[in-house]
Amino acid sequence: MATLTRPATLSIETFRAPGEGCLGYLVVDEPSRTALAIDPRLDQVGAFQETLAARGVRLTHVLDTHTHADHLSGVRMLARRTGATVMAHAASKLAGTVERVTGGTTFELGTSPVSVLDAPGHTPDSLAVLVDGHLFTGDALFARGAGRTDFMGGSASDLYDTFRRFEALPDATVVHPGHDYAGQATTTIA
Amino acid sequence: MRERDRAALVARLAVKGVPPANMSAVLRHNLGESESPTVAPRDLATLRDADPRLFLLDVRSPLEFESERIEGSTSVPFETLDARADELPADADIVVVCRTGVRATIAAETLARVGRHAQVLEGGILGWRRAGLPLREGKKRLPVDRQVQLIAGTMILTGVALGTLVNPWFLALAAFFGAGLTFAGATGTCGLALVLLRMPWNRLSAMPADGTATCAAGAASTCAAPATPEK
Repeated sequence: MATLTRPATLSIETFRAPGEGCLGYLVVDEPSRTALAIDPRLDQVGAFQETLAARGVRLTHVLDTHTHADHLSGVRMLARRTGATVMAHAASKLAGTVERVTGGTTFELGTSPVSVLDAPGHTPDSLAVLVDGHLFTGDALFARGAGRTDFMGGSASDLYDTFRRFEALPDATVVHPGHDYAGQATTTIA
Repeated sequence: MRERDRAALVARLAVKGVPPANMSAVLRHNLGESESPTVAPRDLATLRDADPRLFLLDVRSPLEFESERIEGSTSVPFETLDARADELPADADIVVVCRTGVRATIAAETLARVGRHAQVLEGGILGWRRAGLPLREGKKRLPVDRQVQLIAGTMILTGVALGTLVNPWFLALAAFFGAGLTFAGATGTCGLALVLLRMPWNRLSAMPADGTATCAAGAASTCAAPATPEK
């Protein structure tokens, strides 16, 4: 697990699954001590909870950037244990109590505004999360690669349009992908 | 992006690959269509004494099972569970065990499909150990990928040393193992791992269903397309 700290308001903890390169994130708004969990794996739920407890942070939101097909999601278990709100893209078929979001949705993580971007291509229900210059791209865009589009309703054409959407963001935007297949966990839009 | 040709990039992004393993069970879980209840290690330890119908089903590989297990558990490796589900006692309260809880969750989904209810040990064997509960220790073995690294590294070092000190032809030994590792990395098939899996000390190790062996678990990129977009 690595910690990347930006001045004052935001810190980001990265949770890496050994061997498979899956990356999950805990985005913490430091002034309010509230957090958003992104793509927690089922086998990382304990680690997320330990980090929350160790840092004295309250989890308010948890989401998957898309319906994962390659590993078990810990979203519902983490939400159940912490009381956090589960969020998912409006196109997701996730059952249960879920706050549906789509491109353009914004919400507050404590003092930090969070924006949701549509990111279809890898799956139709893919989303990206933008907070304080950090873009969480899930399996749409990796540090040196792209998500596959050949199952679960994926679309190469949609993924191309998603890249165009990302390209419109400032060059300094830091990209946090859902995998580090190329051995690189972050990059920038530039 | 430097590559402005939409059609060309879309074609590169549209490459087809092999679907991730156990995708349907994973999707059922991730979409909330089914969820196997979990049992905490401490609760399981109590249940084990109180419930005579409790059946601890360990779905790890035979090699992992032999290395350490919960006393009284039964080994049915994950890969064989589909075929052997009818061997499980009919009236048992099944608790599925694996290393972390992931394989056990998928196994419980598999059992649910054939009408068998099962709970999952939360955190798996690692969680059981973290809770300070006893494990029956067996014979420890190095994982095959580490055996490969050990042998290949030793051979390369030996080849370089003998090639420098005795005869340059010994460098061929280092080159051979270097080429083998490169081939394994490029193709995901490791000849040395295949040989090692057949050695007596690894005899219990489960072979992958397709008969191949990779040098590292999870080496395949299940979510990445071969195409690389450029900006």
